[in-house]
Amino acid sequence: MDAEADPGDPESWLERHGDALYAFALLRVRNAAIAEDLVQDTLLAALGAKGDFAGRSNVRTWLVGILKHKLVDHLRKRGREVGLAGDAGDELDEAAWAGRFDGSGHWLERPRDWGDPAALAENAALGAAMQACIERLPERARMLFVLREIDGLATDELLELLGISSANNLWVMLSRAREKLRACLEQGWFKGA
Amino acid sequence: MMIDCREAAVLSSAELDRRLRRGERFSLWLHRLVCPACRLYKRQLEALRRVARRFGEAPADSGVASPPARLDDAARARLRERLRAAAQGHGERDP
Repeated sequence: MDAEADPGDPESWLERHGDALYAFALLRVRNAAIAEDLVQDTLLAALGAKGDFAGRSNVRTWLVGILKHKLVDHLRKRGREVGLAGDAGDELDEAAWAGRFDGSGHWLERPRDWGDPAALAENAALGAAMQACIERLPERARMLFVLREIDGLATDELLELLGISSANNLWVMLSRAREKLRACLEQGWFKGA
Repeated sequence: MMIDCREAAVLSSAELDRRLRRGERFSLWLHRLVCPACRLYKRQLEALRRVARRFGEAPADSGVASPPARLDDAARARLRERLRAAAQGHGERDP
């Protein structure tokens, strides 16, 4: 649509796409200073790679593509730093998980009927509620949920990126992350509705 | 063969990430047959995925995202400053 041969200059990128890049980064790193750095790195890298743009896509798509690379670099480093792979927080996770079920393994609070999943996807306010819930997740759960469910990374990509030792561990962590988010939405959104 | 809701919930999540083994599929199917709560759980996890994917499709212009986070004025000014410096350096090196 607005594919252009010349992507313009960095200040116009900041003007027109800065907020979008920042929001994209912030959802994935949660820290404002880091998100700002990522936007900066992205715009600087874009400046250096201006020649590669060649109107192949629109400017925002191009910039978001660069940002994704920057994010991957950041997450790879960060994943190891915070020990996403290790068992920090595992006991808490397990306690919260166990708290969902009674002694015989039944739901203590039964999941509600949310209605048709396809219709829900079109609900803008629900999207906003999900964002708020994502922001409240502990760091590991948030990264896992965002990378898996929003970005759609595959198991092997997540293992590599976050330095998690086994696929089984990853799948268990994902089940805990989904459950935290589901419970948050159920409490904050569907219960009041 | 019979699993409880706790095990069913783990498998309901796992089936979004991997292909379940035969026995797992059968246990889950059997459990859901008699457990409306776990049938709903499956739909909730599907809904989470759909909302999340939709949300991530087009950052900030999907119309679905909430008013997204914005760069505040100070951050914007800092970035502009650094870009100017870099653009200048860039121009000098590569006229």
